[in-house]
Amino acid sequence: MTDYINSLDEHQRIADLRKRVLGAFEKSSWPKTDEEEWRRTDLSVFDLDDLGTPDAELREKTGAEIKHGRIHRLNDVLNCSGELIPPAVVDRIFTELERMADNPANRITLWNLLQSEEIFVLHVPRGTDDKELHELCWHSLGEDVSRHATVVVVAEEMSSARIAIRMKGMSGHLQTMGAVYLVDDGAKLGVSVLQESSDEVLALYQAEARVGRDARLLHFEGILGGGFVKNRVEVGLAGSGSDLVLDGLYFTDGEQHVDLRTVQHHQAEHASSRTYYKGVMKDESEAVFQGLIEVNHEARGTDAYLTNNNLILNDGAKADSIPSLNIKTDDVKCSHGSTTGRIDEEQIYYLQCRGFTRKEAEEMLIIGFFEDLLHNLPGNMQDDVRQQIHRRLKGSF
Amino acid sequence: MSSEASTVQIDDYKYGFSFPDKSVFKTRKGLDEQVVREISHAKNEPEWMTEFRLQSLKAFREKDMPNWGADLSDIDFDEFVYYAKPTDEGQKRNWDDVPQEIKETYERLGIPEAEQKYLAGVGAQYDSEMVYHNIREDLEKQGVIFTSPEEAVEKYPELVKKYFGTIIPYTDNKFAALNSAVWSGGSFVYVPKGVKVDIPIQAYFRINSESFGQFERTLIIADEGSFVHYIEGCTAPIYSTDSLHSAVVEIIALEGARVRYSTIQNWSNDIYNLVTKRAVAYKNATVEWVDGNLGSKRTMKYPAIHLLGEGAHGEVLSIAFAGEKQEQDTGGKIVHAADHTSSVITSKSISKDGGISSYRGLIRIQEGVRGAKSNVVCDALILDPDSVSNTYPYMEIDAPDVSMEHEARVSKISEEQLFYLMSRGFSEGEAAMMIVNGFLDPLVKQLPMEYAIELNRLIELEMEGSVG
Repeated sequence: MTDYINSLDEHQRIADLRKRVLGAFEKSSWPKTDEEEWRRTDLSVFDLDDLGTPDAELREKTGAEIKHGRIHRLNDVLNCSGELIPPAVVDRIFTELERMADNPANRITLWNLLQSEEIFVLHVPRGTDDKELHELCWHSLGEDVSRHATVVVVAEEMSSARIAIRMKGMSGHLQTMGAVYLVDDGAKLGVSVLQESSDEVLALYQAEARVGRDARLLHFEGILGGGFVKNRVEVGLAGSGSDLVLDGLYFTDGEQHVDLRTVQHHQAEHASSRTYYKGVMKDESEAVFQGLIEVNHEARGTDAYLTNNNLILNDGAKADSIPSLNIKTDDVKCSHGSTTGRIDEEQIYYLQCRGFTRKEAEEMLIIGFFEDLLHNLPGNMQDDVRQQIHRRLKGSF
Repeated sequence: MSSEASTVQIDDYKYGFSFPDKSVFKTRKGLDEQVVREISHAKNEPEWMTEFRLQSLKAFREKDMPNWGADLSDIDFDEFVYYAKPTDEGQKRNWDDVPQEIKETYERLGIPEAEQKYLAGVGAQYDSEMVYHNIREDLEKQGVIFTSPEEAVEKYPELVKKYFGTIIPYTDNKFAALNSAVWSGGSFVYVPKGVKVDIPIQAYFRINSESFGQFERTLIIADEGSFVHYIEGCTAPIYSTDSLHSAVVEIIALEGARVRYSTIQNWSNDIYNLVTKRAVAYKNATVEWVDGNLGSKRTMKYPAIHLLGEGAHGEVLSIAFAGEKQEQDTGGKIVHAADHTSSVITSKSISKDGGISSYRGLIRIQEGVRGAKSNVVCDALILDPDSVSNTYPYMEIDAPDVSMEHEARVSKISEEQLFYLMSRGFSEGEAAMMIVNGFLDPLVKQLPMEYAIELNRLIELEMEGSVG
């Protein structure tokens, strides 16, 4: 492990952070199926300890790329002392990474901090309104290795920005992405994450976010690929009047296993949040959605919703839906709903009467099922999602 | 407010009285093989039942405590008495023959009166043993059996062997294993083919001893096309130490049968109530659990229905009231294992004075099942900022041709509704009471009238001093 860290040849501050993480990582253990969140996703089938680390060439050629916008590598930021991102913001980023190291969601958080090939940072200065989309794309590659990356976004007061993260891994390796989104008072941040890896990839995405007073976070995750996917998105509504939208869509086929966890954690008064996840399961695939609304004692005036809708297309496909509520005060409006069913035969019949084949009708209804989640996405991503689904439905049924 | 309200509540728990402990036989505190053998010996059981108990004890020792749900860390299994025989005289069929103090207990609870007025049969359990069991003669003539499981072991061993422990095996969970090892009392009900028992039968469970464990065992077999409504009520005195109630209830509804099982659990606030209840419903059969949890310190109870035959239907109606220092962890489980099965779970909970109420439920639709339908609705009211409400629904859908809907809502009493009622001349307290009653109404309606009235009265008592 130490050899790998040394081989990354980074600025001393990052190296020090990794040293801090190493001890905690060695003391921790992998999530086990006796933990509620991991009951349906068993990591022990993979020998995580035996996975190798990517060598310099692999890192160089297939590392995550900055496609658009002002995303920087933390190492570059440190080496250009203060030119790319002000030192105070850099300090804040380190404080946040150290906080994660001290209070990790699980061992994967530590693993990711320890081995991240790159730590990407996006700083949106106070009051800026970024029209341009910031975009990160990762064509990860490798056999029997674990690939790691971290993203930290700091959206300062009254700023506005959008970031897209696209993961398109190929061949049998593990890909993990850790993310932190800090949305300061009055800021607005949109995050769109798309998982489009091939089926040999084991993919983990873990995001933490904090939303300040009157600030807004819109987080979207779309799972279209990855043979084995376990994501968790946990957002603290830390400022009063903050607002959160968690959107998600998952289309699974083949033998895919997808397990998605969301937490809308209300810590301040008069905050509102909404989670809206929709899934379509095909072939022998299985999907798990575990959503939680957590309301602290002091979070009076909370308004929180959680919705999960699933369509199962054929025998053999499975969907677990677990929307939970933990409410510790009375002045709340909280509700959740969950439905699971199949495509409505009447709707198919209607479309067939209008001259569509059954296959066309089913595809239209599936795309239509996802449509209300797509309109918040950047334009090219919308088309990509529709095309991917079209491609995966072709030749089936 | 809360401390005042709590004293009111303890005084108002009208079932808190106790009589001196006059048990004729008690096992010593704690649990080991010898205690289990003593219980079996006291009951003069056949060898196969003694063996069943000993195997269960082994399973109990091997099983872990649940690592989820209510906090059970202060249970000390060595501190309970597992068997207390209240009288030497066995179970009676006439109230006059029941020993004086025990009879007085039931008279104060209003049981003999209720029997005359609106019940088809009554069973009464005092600590470990059934002291009374009676059923209307005409039903008996039709072949309806309503007795203690001990008597059933003796008189109907074939029926008992065929069904006992088949729905809930002793390996099911730690508390089912415990019950299987030390079970005593409960009811055995058999309703023959086509017989409809038109008015309910009831069993009444009373704990009198201190630091005691009550482990009744109920087995209900409804033969093809029959119907029975079974009601259980539970109360206990208030002591300074905790007691444990851990029942196992098994229901078999054969083709076309319908069984309704209603519980009004009103244990005193020092009872751990950890109960395993499960039913199986065959073709076109219906099982309904009506589960009212008002009392106890901590309850963990999730009545389950396995829909095994085509067209079977299951319903769970759950109502929980968690007051000061109470935790009600309740819900329901339905497993759809056959085509065209349907289920409904309706849960209503109220949390008050720092009480914790949790709904925990499971809907599983197994692979290959066609045309299953399930609807789950959970509503929760939180009456003050210190109380807690949790909802943990699990939906495991392994088949495409299904319709599964779940919704849950948590809120406080709406200011608008309060304002509306107050502007019509009600006091704030009255208005709140009306809203709470209205909230529970869909459930209360499912109970026989006299229980509905009793439940409303209990809620009123629990609500006292809460608003206005």
